Amino acid sequence: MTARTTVLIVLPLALAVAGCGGARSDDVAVVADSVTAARSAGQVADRQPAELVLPLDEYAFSEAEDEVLAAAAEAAVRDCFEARGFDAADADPLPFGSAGGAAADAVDAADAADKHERRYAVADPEVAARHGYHPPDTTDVRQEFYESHTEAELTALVGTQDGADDGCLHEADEVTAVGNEATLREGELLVSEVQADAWHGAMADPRVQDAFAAWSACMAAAGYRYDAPMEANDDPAWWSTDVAGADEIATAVADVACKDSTGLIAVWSAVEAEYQSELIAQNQDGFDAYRALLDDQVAHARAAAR
Amino acid sequence: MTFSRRLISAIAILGVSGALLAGLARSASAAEHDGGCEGLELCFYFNSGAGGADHDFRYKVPDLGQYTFVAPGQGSGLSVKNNAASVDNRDGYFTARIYFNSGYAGPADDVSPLTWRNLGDTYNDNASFNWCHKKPLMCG
Repeated sequence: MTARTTVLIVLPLALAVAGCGGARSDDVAVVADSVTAARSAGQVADRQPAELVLPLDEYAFSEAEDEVLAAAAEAAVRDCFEARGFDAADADPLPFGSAGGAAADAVDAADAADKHERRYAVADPEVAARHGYHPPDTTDVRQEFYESHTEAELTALVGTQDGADDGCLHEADEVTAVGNEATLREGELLVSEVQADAWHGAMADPRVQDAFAAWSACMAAAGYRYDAPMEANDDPAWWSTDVAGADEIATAVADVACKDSTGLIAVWSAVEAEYQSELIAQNQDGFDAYRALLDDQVAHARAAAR
Repeated sequence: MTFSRRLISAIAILGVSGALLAGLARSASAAEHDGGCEGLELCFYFNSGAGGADHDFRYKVPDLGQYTFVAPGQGSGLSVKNNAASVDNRDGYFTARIYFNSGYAGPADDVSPLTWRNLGDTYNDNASFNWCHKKPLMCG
């Protein structure tokens, strides 16, 4: 709690000068009702938003690094599985991809989805029109993995019993393991703390609050009453069913149109990025040490591929 | 407990023939949502330190508001959504990713395989969760 309190006191002063960048509050009045909102959403459907990059992304594996890790993991799992008397192909589906070129397919699929796609809840007008606030269906790779293998295969792949790390998947992890697990955990915790503090800091920031107010006014004009976007996303009315109903879709379509017309995500993400940068800088040594450990893991994966 | 013994105990509860069940996950309905924190499950606790009432899940959940803490203890009967203080991941390999908002929206926190953690800054801010493979990152 101390860290967040500090942020809330210190950062608004530092950030106050930056102004209200992407907000276009004069656009709000354009969205007069849900029909207009839907039309507006349709107009932006073809526009491909630039992929959002946040400062903390630097402290996670990039897509290119994930490809290297995937190739190393796939090779290690298949070798191990074969050495234990199984046909290497029977290792499919691997839990990071589907049968046949598993790792490559998996990474392609991951590439297709912007990692921050749902950070500010639904933001794509086509997704809103089809799924409302519900996430589009994706293959549950874990369920598929567990259900597609026999018990003998699972024992070879995951391990002999709860908590045993003698499975081929664990062996594959070892290929890229770094010696210093404790430091790695500390780094993960650091990332997690900064992520939460920056998220809450941005939400309380006057610029984001103003952007929420503009979004809320836009939604009200379309007939929907919410103070903040996540209230709309988390509305209990949507979540008692597995798929979106008509009301949910209409609300989500208006939501995305209002996010677009008020420039909400541009403001929100820029403010969140500022908080993240500030918090990273306050503990740069810890973040550098963590990044070095991520680099080590990728280096080990590259070495294993040679 | 081996996979086979775990499967058998699940079957015993269900009263179904083991011959029908080749894969682990097909026994899932036997064990999840019963308050017992068992292998392959993610368990949300009302209190820190895996204390108080809990709810155990086998599969990803887009909205925890549909569930209450089922085991006896503090918090029993309350919604799991935004009320959990700690989480125990009993899967031997997969990482659990806990999101601040429903439908896997907002930022997220990870719980490594076979570890438990207090939710810290995500305390009482848990709305949905997914299972993820870590290297490379691939969430269900």
